[in-house]
Amino acid sequence: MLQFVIRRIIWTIPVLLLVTFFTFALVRAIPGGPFDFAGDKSLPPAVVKNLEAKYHLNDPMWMQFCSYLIGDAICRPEGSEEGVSSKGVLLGDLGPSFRYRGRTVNDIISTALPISMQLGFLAMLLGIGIGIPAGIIAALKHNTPLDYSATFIAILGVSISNVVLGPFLIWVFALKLGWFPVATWKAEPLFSNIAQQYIAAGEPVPMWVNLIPKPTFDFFHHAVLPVVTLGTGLSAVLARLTRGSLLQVIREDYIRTARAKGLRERAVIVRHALKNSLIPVVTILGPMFAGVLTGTFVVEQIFAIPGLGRHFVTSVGNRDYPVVLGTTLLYAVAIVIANMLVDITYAWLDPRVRLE
Amino acid sequence: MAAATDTAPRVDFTTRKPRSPLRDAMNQLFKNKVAIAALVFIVLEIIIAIPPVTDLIAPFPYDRTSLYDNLAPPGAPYTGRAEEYQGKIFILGADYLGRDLLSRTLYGAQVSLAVGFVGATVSLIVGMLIGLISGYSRPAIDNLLMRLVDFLYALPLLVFIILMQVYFKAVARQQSSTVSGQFVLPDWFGWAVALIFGVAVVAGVMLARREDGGGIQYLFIFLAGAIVLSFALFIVLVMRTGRSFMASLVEIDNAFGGMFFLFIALGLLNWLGMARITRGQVLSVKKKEFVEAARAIGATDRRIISQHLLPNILGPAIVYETLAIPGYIFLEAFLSFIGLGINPPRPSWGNMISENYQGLRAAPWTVLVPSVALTLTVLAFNFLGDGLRDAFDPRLRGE
Amino acid sequence: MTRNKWMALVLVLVVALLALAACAQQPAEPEVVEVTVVVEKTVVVEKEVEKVVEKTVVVEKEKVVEVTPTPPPATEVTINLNLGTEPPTLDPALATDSASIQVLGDLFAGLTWIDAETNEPVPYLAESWEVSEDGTEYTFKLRQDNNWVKYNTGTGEIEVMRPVTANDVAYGVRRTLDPRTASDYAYVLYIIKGGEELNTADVGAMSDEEVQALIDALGVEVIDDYTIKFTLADPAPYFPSIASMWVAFPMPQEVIEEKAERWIEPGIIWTNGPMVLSKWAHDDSMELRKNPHWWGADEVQLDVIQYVMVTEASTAFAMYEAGDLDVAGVPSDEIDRVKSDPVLSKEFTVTTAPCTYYYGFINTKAPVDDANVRRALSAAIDRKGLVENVTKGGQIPANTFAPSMIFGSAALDPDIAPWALPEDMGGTGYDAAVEMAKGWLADAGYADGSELGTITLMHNTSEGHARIAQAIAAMWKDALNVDVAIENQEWKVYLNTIKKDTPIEEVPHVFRLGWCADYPDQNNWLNEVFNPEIGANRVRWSNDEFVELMRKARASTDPEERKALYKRGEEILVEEAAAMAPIYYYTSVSVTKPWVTYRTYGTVGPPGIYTWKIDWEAKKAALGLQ
Repeated sequence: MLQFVIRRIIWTIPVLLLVTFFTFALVRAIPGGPFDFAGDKSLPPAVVKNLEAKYHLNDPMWMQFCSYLIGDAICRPEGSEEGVSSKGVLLGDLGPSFRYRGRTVNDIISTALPISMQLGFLAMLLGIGIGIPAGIIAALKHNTPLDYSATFIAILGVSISNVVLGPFLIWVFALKLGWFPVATWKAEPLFSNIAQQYIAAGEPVPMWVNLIPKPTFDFFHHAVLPVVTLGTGLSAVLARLTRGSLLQVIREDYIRTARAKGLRERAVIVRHALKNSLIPVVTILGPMFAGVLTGTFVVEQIFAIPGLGRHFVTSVGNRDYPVVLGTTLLYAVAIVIANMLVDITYAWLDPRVRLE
Repeated sequence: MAAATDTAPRVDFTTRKPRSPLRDAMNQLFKNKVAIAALVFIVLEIIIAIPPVTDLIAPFPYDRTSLYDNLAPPGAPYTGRAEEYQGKIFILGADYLGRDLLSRTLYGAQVSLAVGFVGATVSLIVGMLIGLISGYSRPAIDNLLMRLVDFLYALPLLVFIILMQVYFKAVARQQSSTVSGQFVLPDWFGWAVALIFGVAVVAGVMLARREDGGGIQYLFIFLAGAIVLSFALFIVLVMRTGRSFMASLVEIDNAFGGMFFLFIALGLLNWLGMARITRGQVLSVKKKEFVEAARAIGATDRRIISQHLLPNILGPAIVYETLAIPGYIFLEAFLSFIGLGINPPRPSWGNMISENYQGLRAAPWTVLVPSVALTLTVLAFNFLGDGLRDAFDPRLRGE
Repeated sequence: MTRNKWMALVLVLVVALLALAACAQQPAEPEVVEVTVVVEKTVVVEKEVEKVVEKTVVVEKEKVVEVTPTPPPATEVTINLNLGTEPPTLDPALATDSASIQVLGDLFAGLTWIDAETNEPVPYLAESWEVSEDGTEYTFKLRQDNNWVKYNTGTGEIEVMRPVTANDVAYGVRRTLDPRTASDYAYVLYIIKGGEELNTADVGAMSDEEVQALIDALGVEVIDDYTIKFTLADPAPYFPSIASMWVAFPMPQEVIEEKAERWIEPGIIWTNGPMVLSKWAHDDSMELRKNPHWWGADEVQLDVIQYVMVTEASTAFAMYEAGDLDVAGVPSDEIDRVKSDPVLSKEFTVTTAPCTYYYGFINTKAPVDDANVRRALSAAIDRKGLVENVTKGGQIPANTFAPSMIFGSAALDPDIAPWALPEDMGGTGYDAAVEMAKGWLADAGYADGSELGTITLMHNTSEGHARIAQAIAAMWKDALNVDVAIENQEWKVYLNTIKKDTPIEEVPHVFRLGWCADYPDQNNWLNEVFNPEIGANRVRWSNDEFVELMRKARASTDPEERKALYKRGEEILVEEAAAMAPIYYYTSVSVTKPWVTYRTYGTVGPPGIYTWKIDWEAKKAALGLQ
């Protein structure tokens, strides 16, 4: 196990390196640069040149990549200390944002990621909490009206785009019924006095302080609609997959054996069938977790949630290279970790799968 | 419930005349009324989506605007000036440019169904292939392939799409300016393609029905071959007129109504989840007793894969795939929105939903109509998928 | 029962988030991360808990920290607004977008202020100004009671730092024009003598002395602490309008030099305007508070301006309906519903905005290289039908490039392109326009529009532009039988495509753009956008008469002469050469709660929210605030 984890972590390095390299190259290959236009006005070439010099965009590509990766100290020859300096991604410096002047990518991530994680975590909780039990019930009641209606609801869940579901929920539950607020996210950090200290000093609040919300009524009240919007689709997918794989397992010999042994139905399902049937579900859960925790553009946009999702999209439009790279790298790390956890879970769910 | 538990064992122990797995499956499928209803629905939809049929039944062309009828509610009459539409009504209402929603939804089926099918086919073929190889091969290869999947997962989608849009459109524009005259397909091309597919289906079905070593996978392989062959034929035809390979790709794109590059994008982007699912299942199934047993009696890898692994993978794969279809349809809308894919005013369900959702409260029918079409279709695919899964699952026989 | 459930949920959440906290710091430094992820998970968590304990103790000793209450106390007059987006910066030298500018307008006070009603510059930080006879020297007298203030984020107090002097104004202008500042909007200050030379200098290749020489040569002179003189390159009657702009705001040198790019954060930034920046939760919300030390503080009613940053228009509108916002824009799909709603229709207003939506033709690309074809296409756009049925926001059909509130504009003058105007506005109406269009097509040698081949119409990716493009394509098809292919590209790709040096085969025939006033003068419109010799010239046209007209208008100080010159310019641009097709003048469509008793609409320049008045008692009553 430990050996497996270590080997996987070593393998992660080339993957992340490749992701960084390709993103670095691809994002520079799209027409248009970060500073060539303000609105639709072409900037005077001198101004563009100044800005590019400041952010070292005129250096040779390999030098830019090198200093992004391991910092100026090694890659940039002396005499060009002007402009923005980089400590390198290896030391955790993701660089400055080109668009939000004065903010660094680390800054942006440390304020936006905690919020996306809160939203994503609650949505996953809802998705798993509803989806898996619903899938089990549907499988046990195979081809009965209950099964069909579960399928029907699940399909509604995946077929209704979030751009429709979100505004619809707002309309019904926030405006017509007035049960929930329309939008925005109200997460006071749990350690608000620590946060307050940083604010008083005019310093950015570190990420870990923002991560855990104070469990106030206000927080949950605001969270309900976005979490439901996001969670519905997730639970629908999980329900269908659980049903499908459970159906497959439920008729295997060993389940019959277990039943024949006189085990109670519940024990059979939970201890034997479910555990074995979860492999496809867990496979999907990995990337789902990674995607949802790092931010979902549509839901964040509709509910005006200041998460990371928007930065994945707007940074590309702004040609804000460091933000594109930073968010991509973050997602890559999330994916790699999630898939590693998935593989570990395989071995736990089915002892026949060996971690190699 | 009870039936499921007590009849299933009997199947295994009864010695019967071996039957073709395909015929078995078909028999099973035809017993499942919901699945058959779904099948009928899909077939009807496909028929409607055939261009001449759509032209025949749609009351309006999809691009017929009538500004003063914008957001007309269902049942409102056409008040525009064009002679030929006088007296017609907007049965399901009209959108923000006064275009008939029923007609647009019918035409939208052309794009959305095509996207759904292509997305699902590519994802199934590529995803299952990679997943199978990865799960079944040595750990080194498995590791390599899965790290590739991690890598592709992480690449920024939007950057990728914009690049594709820029590149493909630049190619198209260059070709259209350097190549003069329009390329016209010979009349026999349609028949040739029909013949290729016909042969593929017949051969696939025959092989699939063979009692030993047959399997549904032959059908898929033959169909994939037919697709490749048709493309090759097309490209040869175009290149014979003196056009370059890129030019022939552009011609293909034209022949697909601007959707070919979209399909490439879909194909490149959508097999990752399928590959991971397949691999997960293979990892688990390949160590099971019956596979070990098969190996012990000297079954070949091919036989193990087709007889033992594939049937076990197919269940989750079909479920996953049918659920992914709305995803492809929305992805198409997004790709087209960004300029890669069909150009307005051609409708697809995805772009109808995304261009109308802001009017959800003022004119709900504009969102509702395409959403219902989409939901019904996905529902049909799911019920059919469930039916197929049940039909191909040997353990469910005789239920 | 429900409480128990909540508690359970909360508990689960907290535990899980704690666990996540361990991984959470990794992403910032991914390469290091891996080593710690699994193995050291618990260690990391423990460390954090230690930290927490330490810091909590410190806080409890101090006891100064006020926990900011989430709902504003009802004693403070608060207005709730939507900023629409995160302002990319609050640095006056760097701001380019309307969100930043709106906030800057309340935080800083520039030399002049554009009056909301008349669009004329009025005294603000400058009490008065004088202009020399040749129109090239402007001397501003500053008021002496304006101070830099800073909001203390620890105590919530507003501290007075020092008086604002002419040096701050001079520093601001020099800083904006200094190429090392890399200001996007510096070009509007090119009218100042030496401005262009300084801003476009290649400072990388110059010594510090040479750069300093350029800065010293700038036409900005501090006469005394409260007097500043600008020397202009050309006589520019619109200079007092430019003096109102954010790029010419006074800026606090000591803070900027000390804090560099972080000087714009709350608790650090010094401002001199009616409001101060008290809170800025990036991407989420922003809070401005009244500056009691400002010279006109007595007339400022609002204690707090509370901004949210809601991008999605339909969400902002829903928040308005729910009472979370006092003002909101109306999404175009909702306009019909709002107009027919008994309550909302009373709160609905349409105001003109100094912007124009237009289609440009690539004047060198066949078949739109023929003015007759361009004019025919322009005339075949049913502008009235478009604004009434597609955009729906009360936009005004446009027959010229510059809208009416711009000095020198000939908007809606039926002498120019009458075929673009409906009959009730003095034009020919659409049916007559189509007949004329057919005639022009015939003059160009096309009996039928289909002979033009396929016309490519391109717009940047956006739902609104897509709708307009589809409507216009249908009009061209119906009226002239022209086949149109619509394409769209992502914004920056698009701007690159329609550049004047893109190979002709890669550009579309027709592209869309819009233009909004930087300052209310035709110079900012006809000259800066369409003069083929200085502008971006995306339409790729050339016209000697037009160039000459623009040169004359720039050099003239006689308002009537300038108006006449610009009118002739519009005539050439829109009608004779038909280099572009103006489509409509923008409006802004909004709903305002009845308790907002006075508001402005921000036409040119920032709206100045600080001048707004609300009936606070009515708002409290309506929303049930205590």
